[in-house]
Formats: sequence, structure tokens, C-alpha cells
Amino acid sequence: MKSMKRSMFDRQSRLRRPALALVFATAATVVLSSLGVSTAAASSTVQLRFLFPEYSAKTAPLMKAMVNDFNKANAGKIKVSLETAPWDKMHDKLALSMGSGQAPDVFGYATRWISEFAGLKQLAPIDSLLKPAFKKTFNQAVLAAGTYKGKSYGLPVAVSARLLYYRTDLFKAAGLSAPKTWDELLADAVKTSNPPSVYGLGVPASGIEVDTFFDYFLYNNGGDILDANGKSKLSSPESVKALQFLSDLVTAKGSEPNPVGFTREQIIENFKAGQLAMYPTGPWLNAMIQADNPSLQYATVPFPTNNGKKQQTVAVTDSLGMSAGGKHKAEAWKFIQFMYQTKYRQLFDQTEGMLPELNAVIHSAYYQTPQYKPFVDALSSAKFQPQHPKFEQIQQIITVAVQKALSGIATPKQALDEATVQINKL
Amino acid sequence: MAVIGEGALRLRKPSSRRRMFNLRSESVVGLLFILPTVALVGLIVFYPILETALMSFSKVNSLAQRGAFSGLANYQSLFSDTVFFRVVVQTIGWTVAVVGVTTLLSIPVALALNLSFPGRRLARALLIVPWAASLMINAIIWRWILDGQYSIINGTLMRLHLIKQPIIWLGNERTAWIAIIFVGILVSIPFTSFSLLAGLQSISSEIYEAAMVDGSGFWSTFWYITLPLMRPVLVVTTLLNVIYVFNSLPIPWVLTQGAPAYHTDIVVTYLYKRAFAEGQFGPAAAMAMLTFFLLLVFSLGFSHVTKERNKVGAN
Repeated sequence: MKSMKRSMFDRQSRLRRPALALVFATAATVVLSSLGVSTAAASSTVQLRFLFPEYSAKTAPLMKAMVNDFNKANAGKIKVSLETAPWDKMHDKLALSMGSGQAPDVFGYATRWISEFAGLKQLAPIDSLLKPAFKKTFNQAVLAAGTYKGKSYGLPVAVSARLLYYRTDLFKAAGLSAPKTWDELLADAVKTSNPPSVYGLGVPASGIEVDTFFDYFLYNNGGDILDANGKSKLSSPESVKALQFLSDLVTAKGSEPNPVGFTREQIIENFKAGQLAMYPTGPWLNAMIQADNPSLQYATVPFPTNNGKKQQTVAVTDSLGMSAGGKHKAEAWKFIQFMYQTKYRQLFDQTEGMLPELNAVIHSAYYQTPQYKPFVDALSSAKFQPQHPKFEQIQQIITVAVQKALSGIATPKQALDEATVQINKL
Repeated sequence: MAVIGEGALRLRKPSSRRRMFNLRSESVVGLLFILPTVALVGLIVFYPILETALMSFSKVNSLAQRGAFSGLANYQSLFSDTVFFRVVVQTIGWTVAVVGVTTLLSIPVALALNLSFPGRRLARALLIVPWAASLMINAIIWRWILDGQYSIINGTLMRLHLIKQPIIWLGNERTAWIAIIFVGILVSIPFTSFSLLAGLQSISSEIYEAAMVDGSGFWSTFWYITLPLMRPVLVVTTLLNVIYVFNSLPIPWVLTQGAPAYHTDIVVTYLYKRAFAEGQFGPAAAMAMLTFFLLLVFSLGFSHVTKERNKVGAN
């Protein structure tokens, strides 16, 4: 005889299966719901979220140390939590967090995104917070890059100006001096080319920043991406000539073959390894060469101009801004001012190989060395990227035009005319 | 002898009511069991599909926030996009090339692995390796094997004095497509061969013995016996391969990212660029929905055309 003690879970019980199912279902629901629950800590400390892009492996520890200092100095009143993300994910991360109403209180972003984010009312204007004393500590040209439609939306947090790096040893061996005009640039590129071990000018036509590379030529021939009305200026004779020159340089074997197969990162590696005679880029290459190939002999000069046109230094800034929906703007601004103390900015700029935005750092000994002085001086002729809410698409359009011209799919004029049509349709 | 337990309880109920009661409790129990899984799958798989479908009919800003309904505007913008048509043609070419060549190559591989030879286990294990490594890993490895300056292929060819200058494989359209298709075939062969191998192993050896007795040579056996019996497996692998390959982002993305100028793009890399590099989620969602319908139509059509007509009779 079976024992009289019966439970729902006995083998013989009619209720066994429903009972077990109910238990499983309940357990699963409880587990799943507990995964999504976040209990907000009830406290009077103001919590700030700070999102910063990674410039290198050193960015996160650098920022962490600064945030810890701030939290210690404001213990019990304000607590900042740091989050970092690689650059190629930054736009997605910001877009997603803004789209879901959970933008970080303070975040770093590419200045070219100002028009997009400000247009979507996600950035807080900082003009009222920017007191004259604080404002004066900045290089004014660089500070102006963060304005859109007359309002200031961010402080410059990373600045780069681009110069032409060239191999002094290769030039000396070929009896050449640093190029100042485009004719010299073409001649030097062809003369220093010695395939397959060395090529003249590194031309990256794949991946990101292909449009920035084209800007070196575009600006220094008096061309531009947009005109004063925000319409495309890429079909102007100066702009077309710029792309024509680049295309001719590649055809004349002044660069590595098939530039479309090379990204910016690869070209930088090639220059570091000594396989390129020239390449224009920002000050970080100094630090990279120092780390990986210190015996490389090189120097930097402003990018050559065509026919005596005005020297334009391609400069890019990244900005630090505040979310428009942030609930603790006063505390966020306090944190920002803490971050902009000279000692933190000096450490950041030096570690990441960036140019300074604070006057104090510009005049420091480090930035007056021969490696950095040319860059800092070039800031006075800096030309920043134009503000347009759909600038990311414009960059894609320009990249496609450059790729078409350099692969022979279209002539420079055709490629740029197509680009103009597309940009004006945006 | 007393019958105890469920059996005893059941015998006591009148038959019709008993059947209805069991059916109800069975389905309720079943529903409860599958509830957590259905909820999870619904959230992770069906909700994004629904959201994409909604996006394809709405105006979406660059932060992926869905705005007002805009009807077929996104789809219409695709029809006036010459790049889109080119990309669709490229995708069809890529799919046909990869699936076609993979299937052709996998048949002899499966036949070979079906024979017993020393080292067969090793051969099978080696064949699994590209399949076990994720597509991304495969793509990245080949990205460096084909690199313009550090390519191991170029190095070998140059040392054999077959070429004088390095070939920039991923730098021009023609060699880039050859490379992309080649890698696609390489990573698809393991899955296809193993599926075909499973199909081969289900063919009983008696049929082969009967064929040998009847004097059938290698090719006749292959053509009239092996292939027809492998037909169901071939249909399934072809269908699955078409769906996987059509939507395969990692290989073209890692190798060329669609350069130059969308000439090595397939639909899924093109829509990825439109959505995330250009912030145009509406047209990208429309492209995703079109791909979905295209593959749905293909799957239904293909299954219908290759359906085995049931033959009556034993002969």
C-alpha cells in the first residue's frame, strides 16, 4: 500500500504536471523580471554620468584618476561615474542613449555632430555658464569651433591640427627640400618612390577619414565643402582641381598603388615602419613613432598650397558637452570646470598626443619643443569642418567621390558633380 | 488486483468527459511550460522585427526615434536609388557564386569523407575548424592574408617569381570580389559537406550492392542513385545556404567595407552603412523588410518547386 501522505508532486498525482509547470513558469518569470529591476539608491548625493571616448588605451585610467579626485573633493555631495567607449561606437552610443531619454550628463563627442545633436535639442547651450574669466583661459579660435547658430554647445576637449610629415633622410638622399607648392609635392612624391619598399605619399582611400584626407588638398587650393548658404561647393573649379591633382599623383605612381585597399591605420603603420616618404596627419604620430620606431628621421611642415593660395591647416576638434535633459546642470558644470584645470588638461594632451586648447598649456615647455611648436603655431590658420546636421552623410558622399576618382570609376569632375547633387538633396 | 494511480482515476470517468478534461489540462500544462521561452523569443526576435517593419513605414530621425507614419515613402526612395539596384544585383551574384560553387565542391568532399581511409577522423576534425571559428574571425584572418603590403600570398608568389609587384587584392573591384567570394566559399564548405555527409550516410549500402550487381559503374551509380537519394539534403542545404549567404555581413564588411564606392557592397552591408554611418534608419529598415520578403518568396518558391512528388507503389 502506498503511504497516505500525498503531495502534488507525487508520481501518481494528477496535478503533478500542472504543478511543476506552474513552478517553472513562476520561477522563470521571477528570474527574468529580477534581471531588469534596478533599484535606485535613495540618497541625497547627486549622481552624474560621464561618458568619454577612448583615444588610446591610456584614456580610461587617465579619466578615472581625474574622476576619483573630483569625487573625493566632493564626497557626499556629488558622485561622478565614468564610462568610456571606443570612438567608432561613440555616435551609436550617444544616439541610442539620447533616443531613449537617458543621455549621460556630461559627454565627449565629435564637434561635427553639434549640428545634429543641437538640432535635435539634445545639447545644453553653455553660454550663460561660460564666465569671462574661464573663457579667457582658452585659445579663442579653438573655442569658437564649438558654436552652432550663434550658441556655444561645447568646450574643446581634444584638438588636432594636421601637418605634413616627411622623411628627412629620404629627402636628403634625393637632394630635395620640404615641399611648399603642389608642383614640388608631386615631384617629390614621384622621386622618393622606390616600389615596392618605399612609396612617396601615403594615400588612404578606405575606411574612415578619407574625406579629411581630401580636405588637405581641397582647402589648400581654395576649395571648400560647403558655401555660405550650406550648399555644396565641391563642383567649383578649385575643388575639382584638388581631386584631379590627387588622382594625377596616384596615376603618376607618387603614392602606393590601389589606394582604395588601404585604410588610415594601415598607412600610419607603413609610415612608422619607414615605407612611406610623406604623410599628413595630426600630432599623435609623434608619440607613435617615439614608441615604435624612435630612430625614424622625420620632420613636419604645413601642407603645401597650390599657386600661392592661402595656407589652411585642417584642424579637427572634439567637444565636451552637457545633455539638455540633464537634471543637475549646476553640478555637471562644476565637474567640467574641475576637469579643465591646467594640470589635468596638460596630462591629457601630453599622454594622448593632442594639441592644447588652454593657453597655459600652449605656452608650456612641452608644447614649445620642435616636435609640437609647428602644430601649435598652425592653430592660427586652422580651418575646422563645417557644421551641417547631416555631416556624417556628407562625409560618406565625399568618401565615395574620392574612391570613384581614385579607382578610375569616374573622372574627378563627374564624381564631384554627383556628390554635389547628393549633398544638395540632403 | 486494484489498479492504482492515474489509471484508476481515469477509469472512473465517463469516456467523453474524460477525454475533454485531459485535453484541456494537457494544453494548459503545455502552454505554461512554453510560456517563458515564447516570451523570451518574442522579445528578442519578434519585437525587433516588428519595430523594423514599423520603422520602414515611418519617418525616423538620426537617433533612431520613430516619428510620424510616412506610408511607402521609404520604399519609394529605394526605387529611385541607383546604388540600391546595383547592390541588389551584386548580392544576387555573390549568393549564386558562393552557394553554387560551395555545393559543387561539397559533394566530392562529402563523398570522400564517406569512404573510410586512415586519417579520416583527422580530416573531419580539420574540416570543422573554419566552421567552429566565428565568421568574424575567419574574415579578419583573411583580411590580413590578403593585405596589400603584408600579404602572405603576395610574399609567396613573389618568392616564386610569379609576380614582381605585390597584388593589392582588396584594392580593386575585380580582385576584391574574387577574394570575398573565395572566403565565402571556404567558410560555407564545412556546413554543406557535413550536411551532405549525413545525407549520404542515410543511404543504405544495400542499394549500392544491388547497383554493383546490376553492373553500374561509378558515374551511373553517382548520377542515378546517389544524387537522387541526396536530393532532400541538397534542397535543405541549398535553401539554408542561400539565406545565410544573402545576409552574411562579416565577410564583405571586414574585407572591403563595400569600397570602392559601393562596388563591393551587398544589401546587408549597404543598409548597415545607411543606418549607422549615415543615420538614415527609415530607408535602411525598408531595405531590411525587402530582403525579408525576397528571401521568404524564394524559400516558398524553392520548396514548392523541389517538392518530391510522392510515388505510389513499391516499384
